Amino acid sequence: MSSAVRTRMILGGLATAVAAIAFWFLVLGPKHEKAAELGAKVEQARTKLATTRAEADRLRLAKSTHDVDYASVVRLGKAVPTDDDVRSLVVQLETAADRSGVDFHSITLSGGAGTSAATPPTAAAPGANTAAATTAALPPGATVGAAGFPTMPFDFEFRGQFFSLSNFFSRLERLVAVSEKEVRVSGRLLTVDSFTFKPGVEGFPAVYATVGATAYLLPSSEGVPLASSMAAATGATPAATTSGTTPVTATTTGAAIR
Amino acid sequence: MKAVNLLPPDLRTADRRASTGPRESAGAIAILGVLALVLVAVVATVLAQNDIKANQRELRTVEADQVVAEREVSSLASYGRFQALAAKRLSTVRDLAAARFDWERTLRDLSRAIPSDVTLDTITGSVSPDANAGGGASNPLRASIAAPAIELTGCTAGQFEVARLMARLRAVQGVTRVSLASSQKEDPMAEATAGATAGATATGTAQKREGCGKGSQPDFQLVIFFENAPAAPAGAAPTAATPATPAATPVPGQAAAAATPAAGQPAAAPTPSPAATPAAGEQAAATTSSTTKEVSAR
Repeated sequence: MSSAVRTRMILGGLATAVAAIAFWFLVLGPKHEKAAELGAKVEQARTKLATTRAEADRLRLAKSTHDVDYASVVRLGKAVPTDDDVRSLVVQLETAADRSGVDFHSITLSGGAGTSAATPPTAAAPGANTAAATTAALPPGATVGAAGFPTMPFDFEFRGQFFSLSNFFSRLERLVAVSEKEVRVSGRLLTVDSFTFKPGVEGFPAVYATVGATAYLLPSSEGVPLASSMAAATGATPAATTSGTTPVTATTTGAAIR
Repeated sequence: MKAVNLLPPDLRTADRRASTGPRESAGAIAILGVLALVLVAVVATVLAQNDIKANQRELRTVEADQVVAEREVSSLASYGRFQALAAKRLSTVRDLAAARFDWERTLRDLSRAIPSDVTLDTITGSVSPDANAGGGASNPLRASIAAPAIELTGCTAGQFEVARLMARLRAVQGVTRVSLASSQKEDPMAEATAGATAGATATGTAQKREGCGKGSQPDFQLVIFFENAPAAPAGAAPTAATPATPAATPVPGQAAAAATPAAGQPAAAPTPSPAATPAAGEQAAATTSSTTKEVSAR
């Protein structure tokens, strides 16, 4: 083989190699990159889809248990209503007092009466506008407690015997009874903050009891939403057509919430 | 010796022409190789293009599914929010209810722990020093500890009985500290002077005498603290907390040092001093049938 032929062959091989490299970098490489990029996008989209589907599954489950949740919130609204609902509180106290053999003598709104709505929040406080809006929405006499929970402090006076009053305290606690598995609501949630027992005019065992207790409220913005509005959002038939305010009728008395 | 080509010249040319065959076949091989390379390149390009198209199709499918799923999520979001609201509210109510102090059990335990020779003037309970029903709290010790506490004022037959009362109160379930603010006997002369001025006071004094016995009886003020409160643990229903514990039912009649309740002794152990028990009948019998009920008071 002559040297000219050999040179031509070498040049041809080199040209082929250059062409192959150029083909790889200019044609095939970009396509592979694009394919890989699309593959990564597909993986991301699949992950996102899996997350969304899991969320959808959770929400479907929430929809299936909506009736139970709604009933729970309505029952809890009996313990912690959006309104002050003093009328119901008085009835519950009188009933508990009667059953305990105690004379329910008086009820007085104490503490924050007249201060909650009138006191403007400090301008520098963070979330002052929200707090102001929350406070403004509260019924008269209610104050926002330390935990941001609206409260209504009351002073009650009772007359009865020592053990009757003790029994009465027990009944007050049982209006909202808590166990490990459930919360049983049959009335207003009350926390007895203080009490004073003094002997009655006729002496012991007659006792005059002054009880300081706190009732809790929900901001009106956290009331039960309309079931119909939720159904409208999903196009489903509402399971319950209870109004937005928390009902305090006896239909939920004694029901347990798990 | 010199080699000599004996072939005629024309044959010599034909032989040279025949020798060019392999060169031509090498060129053909080279062309075939190039074609093969082109073929490989085309196949690789087509495969890559197919891969791209498959991924694009897959991406479109997944994105379409995503849109459907997101639409479903947005339509069901209100249910999710409501479920979260329900869970939050349940948790809030549960926490509030579980944090309540169990006054009923405490009062019942207290009634069992107080000896029959102790007369109480007032019982004031509060979950914190700031909480005062009717402004009844007056004991300065109360403000020292921010925990549920019960302030007791009353009288008893002597200082020894005050000490015994404190020991027995310390044995009540949940009590972490019993602090005595004062235990002071009245001055008979001053009492006689003051007692002559007010009839109502005289009546109260007479009741007190009846409860505390005759002679000079110390008036005491003490505070019992429940520093491990909230006493009502989460998950314990009020009714479940009612069984009397041995700690809450010390055996009366024992010396102060021996006032620690006998472990394992049933709460229903008969006790010899029911005389001064308030409401010793109907109400107490229902809840603490045969246990000690000995709150004495004026």
